[in-house]
Amino acid sequence: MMLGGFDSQNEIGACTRTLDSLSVGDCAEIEGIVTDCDRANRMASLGFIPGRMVRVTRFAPLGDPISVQLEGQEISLRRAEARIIQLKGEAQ
Amino acid sequence: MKALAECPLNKTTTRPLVALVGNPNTGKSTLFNRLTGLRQHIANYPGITVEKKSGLLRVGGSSIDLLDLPGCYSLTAVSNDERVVMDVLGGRRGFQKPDLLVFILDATNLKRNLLLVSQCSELGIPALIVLNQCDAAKRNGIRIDADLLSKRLGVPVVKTVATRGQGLSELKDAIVSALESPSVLSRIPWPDCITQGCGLLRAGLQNSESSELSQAEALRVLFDSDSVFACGVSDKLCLKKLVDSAHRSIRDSGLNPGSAEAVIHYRHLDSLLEGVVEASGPIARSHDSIDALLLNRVWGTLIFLSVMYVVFQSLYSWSAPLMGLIDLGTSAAQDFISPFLTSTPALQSLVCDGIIAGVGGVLIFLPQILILFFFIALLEDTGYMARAAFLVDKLFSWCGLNGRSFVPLLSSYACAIPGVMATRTLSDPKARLTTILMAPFMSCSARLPVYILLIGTFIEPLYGPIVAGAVLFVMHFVGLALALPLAWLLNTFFLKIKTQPFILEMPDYRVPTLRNIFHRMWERGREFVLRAGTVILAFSILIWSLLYFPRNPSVEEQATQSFLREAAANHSEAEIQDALKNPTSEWNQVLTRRIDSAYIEQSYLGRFGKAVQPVFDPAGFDWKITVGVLSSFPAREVIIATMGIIYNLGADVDEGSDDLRSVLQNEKWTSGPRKGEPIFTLPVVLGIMVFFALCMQCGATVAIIARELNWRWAAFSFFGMTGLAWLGAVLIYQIGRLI
Repeated sequence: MMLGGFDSQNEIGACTRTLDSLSVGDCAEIEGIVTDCDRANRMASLGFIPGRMVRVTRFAPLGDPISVQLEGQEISLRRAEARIIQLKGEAQ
Repeated sequence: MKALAECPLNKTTTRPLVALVGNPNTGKSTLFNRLTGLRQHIANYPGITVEKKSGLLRVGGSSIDLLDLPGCYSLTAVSNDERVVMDVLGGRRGFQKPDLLVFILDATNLKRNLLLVSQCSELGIPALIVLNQCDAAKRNGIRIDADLLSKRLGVPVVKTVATRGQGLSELKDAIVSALESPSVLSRIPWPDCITQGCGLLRAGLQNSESSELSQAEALRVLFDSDSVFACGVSDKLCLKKLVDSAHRSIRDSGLNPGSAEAVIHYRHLDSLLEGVVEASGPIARSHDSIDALLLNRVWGTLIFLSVMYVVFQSLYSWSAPLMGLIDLGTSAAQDFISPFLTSTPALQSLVCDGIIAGVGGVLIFLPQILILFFFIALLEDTGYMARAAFLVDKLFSWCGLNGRSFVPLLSSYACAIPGVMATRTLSDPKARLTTILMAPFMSCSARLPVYILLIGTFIEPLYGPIVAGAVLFVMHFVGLALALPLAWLLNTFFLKIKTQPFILEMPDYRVPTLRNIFHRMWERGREFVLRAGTVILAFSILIWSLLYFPRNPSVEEQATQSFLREAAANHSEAEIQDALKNPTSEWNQVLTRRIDSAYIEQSYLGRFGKAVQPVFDPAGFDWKITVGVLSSFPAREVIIATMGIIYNLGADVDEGSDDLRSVLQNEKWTSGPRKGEPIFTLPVVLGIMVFFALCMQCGATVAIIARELNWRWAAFSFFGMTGLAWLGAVLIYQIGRLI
């Protein structure tokens, strides 16, 4: 546990995928949020919690922020925030 | 209205207090407006710039105090908005605890909206749930079993469509009966590790706080290191130790302390909503196809630019006729009142040049404010504002601003007053503060006359129209080019406020209602006139008195005598007497101008200008420019009229006046080392323009910044910009002299 605790007890390797690495149209399951109390709580309150599916719908014209779909809601977030959201496995 | 002024919150009133709570974009404010009509009172919460909206709800014979709390997603208190919610709900800091919470939920996104409800269940305050936007939910194929939801939550549930006023009377009845027979939300079962953690905190912090933490407050401290309650604890070391050990036990049971709260709430909500919400098929969002166009890299950008062009044009040009009307009205009022007061010139001048001009100077901003808030309400209500912020966020994110800064900064190019007011749309306090401080740097329309006068007089004759146009263009970006790096500096090194993640919820596209839009315009316009307007008026009366007094009659005598002596050199006594007898003769006009000029030179401001001229000497300003600059501190456009008076041309000159231009070209130093040299050399001219570009010569902006932030920031902005402007002018003059 290099960063001191994740939502999941699964072993997470060094090459964990994060939300900012997805391309437009990609869909993935949320694994957890990097421990970082302030932002983690906020992101989790918005619905970024383990087990939910998230899909990247588009990038802003200048590449940042990105827009994602989560539980039927459309949310825009900066790549800096997307980076703290960890995803499971490979893109589906 | 009178009774409302002393309305809720800090005092205990006999009327019950009902608070509206909910996420942003749920139609909470629309519902508030519908419930209270225009019987509302807007103020700031003491010490912070969060808007406090309270109003009176009348049902049958009884009246209820209604409080519209700021919209928030959760109780995590990051911004001031959220702190207020937490303070009010906790009955802390002298706030009166509400008797009933009315939760306004967006029926199309029930689960996320219920998170806040679930968090608030710990407070034990009686509650009532409103499912708003039920029509949109139905369209999206979402069916909600309100009765089952009510049974599971333990409180009544009412369905409404706020924009159309549907379900309003049911809601009013429900509020009354909930006050009569209150029911509280059923609490969420916390896992042991959380309960233990809370117990630990409550036991440990018992002695360091004057009063014991409640379970709800302990939860906030546990999950939210920034919470108001954690801030209230004096022994930070002990607090940190307790929180750390509580976090450890949460981690040991397999949860991330950072997100555990939301995860547990959502798990609970998943089972709570089982059978309550039924979605027919995959949720089809109506906005997907519109977004594909509006957020498209090419088309989206083009549409964005066109929309912003329309907003800007209407602020910049379409407001002109209305502003012209207000100007006309002001001078008509002056002309009407003036003859009644000729016997008392001081009172005449106070009423006409001080009060009426001051009131006119307040009202002149109204057209732009109303137009801007028309567009802001339109863009927000349709749902486009969030998209616009998404499109341009990257342009601003590097310097600590965000996509929502665009509209305020763009509007500031017309006028900083509506621009600063528009920053209310920024929920991140740090970005809002920075945007407010940067807004006065944008080249507002009041700077244009100064640029046109100086460029037209000194640059166009020398370098031709192309260079002149280019200089005018560049002048519009001087402020912006400095403001963004300054924002970066301020954010990186000086502001100790935490940066919030910039997260936008893309709301559904909706058809805006005129009722809402006009309400917004009325609210802002009224607030500006009543709150900022009074300060601006006081400013303009102060400056008037500095320009008018001491008004020693000997000044007039001396000016007249020196004029007569000059005249006697070339004309006979009889000729002079004849000409002066006719009040409309050119001689008389010249004499009046000389007297006005002498008075301004002898006024407190004039004396002050002469005294501080050495400060502006490194920029090559003589005392006349200095007085002009000083007198334009309340409003920069005043400089043209002041220069007209100082250069004996009368106050009626404008930036295109040939007389003024030729006088400026011929002005020479009358004393000192530069005696005989022209005053307005190219470096001086450029220096003056840069000075005007960077200086906060606008009393109204200072007043509005004080209103939106506080007087400390207003002073910081004023002195900071003035210092920067001086530095800019000096640098240009000194470098220019060397070249």
